[in-house]
Amino acid sequence: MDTEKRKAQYREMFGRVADALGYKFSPDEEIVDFILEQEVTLEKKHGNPFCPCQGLKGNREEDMKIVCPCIPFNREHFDAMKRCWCGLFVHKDVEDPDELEQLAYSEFNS
Amino acid sequence: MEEENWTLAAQESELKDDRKAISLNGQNILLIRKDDEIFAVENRCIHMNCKFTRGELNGYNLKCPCHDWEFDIRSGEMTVASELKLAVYPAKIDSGTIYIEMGD
Repeated sequence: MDTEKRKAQYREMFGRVADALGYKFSPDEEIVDFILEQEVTLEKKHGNPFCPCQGLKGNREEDMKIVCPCIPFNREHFDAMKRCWCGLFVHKDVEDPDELEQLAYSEFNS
Repeated sequence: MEEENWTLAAQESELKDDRKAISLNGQNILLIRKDDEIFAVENRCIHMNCKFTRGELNGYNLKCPCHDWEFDIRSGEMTVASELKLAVYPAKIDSGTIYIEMGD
C-alpha cells in the first residue's frame, strides 16, 4: 500500500462523509497529514484505518465504531466540541482549531 | 403527472439468496428481495466504497461487510446519521421481471 496514495484516497472518501455531516478537514494541514499517515499505518497493521487517538477494545462491534471518520457514532460529543476527538475534522465554521477544547466523554456526559 | 421510466434490471429467477448485483447506466446497484418486495440500492458504501453484495440484512438494515455501517434499504439513510445516504431506486417485479426506475 502506497502511503501517499492511500492518504489521498482517505481525503476523498472521508471528506465526502465529513462534508455531509457538517464537518471539514482541520485547517491545520500538519495535523491532518500526520493523522492520516497514522491511519495508513493502522490500516496496514490491522486492516482498517482506525482512529489513532482512541484505543481498540478488541471486539468488532465496538472497534468498527472508531474506524475513521467516526463522527456518525459520536455525533453529540463531537458537535459539542466542534471537532472530532483527534481534531482531524472540525465544524465547517471553525477557522482556528486551536481555540477548540477537547472534552472528555465523561465530562461531556455528566 | 410524472412519467414513469422503468428499466429492465434482471429476471427474478437470477436472484441468488434474494440478491443480485447489477450494473446499469454506469451505476453499481444491488437488488434485494425481502419478503415479496424488491429493493434497489447503490452497491457502494458511502464510507470507503465497499460493495454491499455480501452485507448482512437485519430487517431493512443492510450492513456493510467492511466496517459495519448500516443503511435502511427503503430510504438509503445510514441508521445513525440520516444525512449519509445511499442512492435508492424505485423497483418492482412484474411477471418475474425486475424493473427499476433510474430517473433522468
